[in-house]
Amino acid sequence: MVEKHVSTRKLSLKYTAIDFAMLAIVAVVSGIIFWATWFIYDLGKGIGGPIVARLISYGLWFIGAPLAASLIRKPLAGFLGETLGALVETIIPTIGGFTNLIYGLAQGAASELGYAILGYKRWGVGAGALAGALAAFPCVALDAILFGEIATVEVMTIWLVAAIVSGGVYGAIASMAAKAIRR
Amino acid sequence: MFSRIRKPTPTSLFIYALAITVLAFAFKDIRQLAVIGLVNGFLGIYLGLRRYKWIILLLLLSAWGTFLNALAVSNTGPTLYQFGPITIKEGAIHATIAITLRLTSIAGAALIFFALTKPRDIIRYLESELRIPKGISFAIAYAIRLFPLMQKDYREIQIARMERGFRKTPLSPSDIKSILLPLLSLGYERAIWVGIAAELRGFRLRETRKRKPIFGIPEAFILTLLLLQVILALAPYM
Repeated sequence: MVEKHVSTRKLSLKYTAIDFAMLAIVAVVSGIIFWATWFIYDLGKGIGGPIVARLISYGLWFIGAPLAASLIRKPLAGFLGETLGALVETIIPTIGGFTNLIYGLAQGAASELGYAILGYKRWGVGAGALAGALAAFPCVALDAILFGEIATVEVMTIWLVAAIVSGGVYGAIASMAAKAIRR
Repeated sequence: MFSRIRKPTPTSLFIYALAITVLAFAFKDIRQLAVIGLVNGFLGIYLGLRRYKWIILLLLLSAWGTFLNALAVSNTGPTLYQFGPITIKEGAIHATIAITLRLTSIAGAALIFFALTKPRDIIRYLESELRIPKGISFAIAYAIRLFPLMQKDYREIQIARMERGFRKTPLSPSDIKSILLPLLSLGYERAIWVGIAAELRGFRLRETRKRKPIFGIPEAFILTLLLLQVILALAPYM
């Protein structure tokens, strides 16, 4: 018996207007969540420090990819979902300005890699968690490159683990939400 | 008199904001960052404060968070202040100022861009001048159109929640879920029908109109502003 979220249909790269409209939905929802996450991140950083901030907020910045991929179930959907979400976040706008786009592109590519590793056959909660967790790597790297958030190896590892855990949890939640509305 | 002057095109403002973002990361010295931070910060706040008040709150929150972060990772060099067990060293202050100026210039440039452009124009220019694919521009255009619709949906969900005796504003994760799921569900249903309608109206056959970027006095002004900031920032090192 085939697992419910293991796709057996032929892989299609052809995007229809319906897919683009769904990408727009994901872009708006994730863009608004990304915008709100700035407040959660800054409050978290101000009250609980960098680890708590990463744990409670980073995954929210990665949900565009699992949400889009679980809804559209086509190659590149994750990448486009995260990137367009970042574009909407830039348009709203936030203090990240056009930096959001750089993060969106990198995180989207990393999350897409998760679905590619699974051969674009699994779109369930596990795949969503993997996609969310993978986005943590470019995110922490860009924090170091762009904002100079560099510490000792031990501290950097803790930050990375916090981002991975956060990404995994929120990625799974995003996939569950997509599963609930996909009929 | 000023109302007759044409605004710079979204393409020129987009390139300007992108260039400032790149410069904000390329410049490491505080004096260089101060030039672009002050120019774009003041201009951005002046032009965009009415529409985007929360940016100030975010900047203040971010500065505080950056300071705490700097205390953890950049607290090196000579001691400047001592508050009980907390020692504030030169490195922490330096990092806080540098990153806050960097964020101010990035946010300022983005505010200049969004205060002087309309979302619809952004998409039109991105498609015709910067040649982004039509599917992507359709998604962005639809996303922008969705904002007021989703706002209306959100209000209706709030009314339904209140009628059922639940609080209006979401506080707990289950509150957020009970608002997010119907919002997504409505959006999903709408996306299917919008997509079908677009396909039936020949979305696939639609050709993108391409044109050369416009370059007039407003664009020359934007370019001059950018060059002036680069010259001012680099002048002490020449």
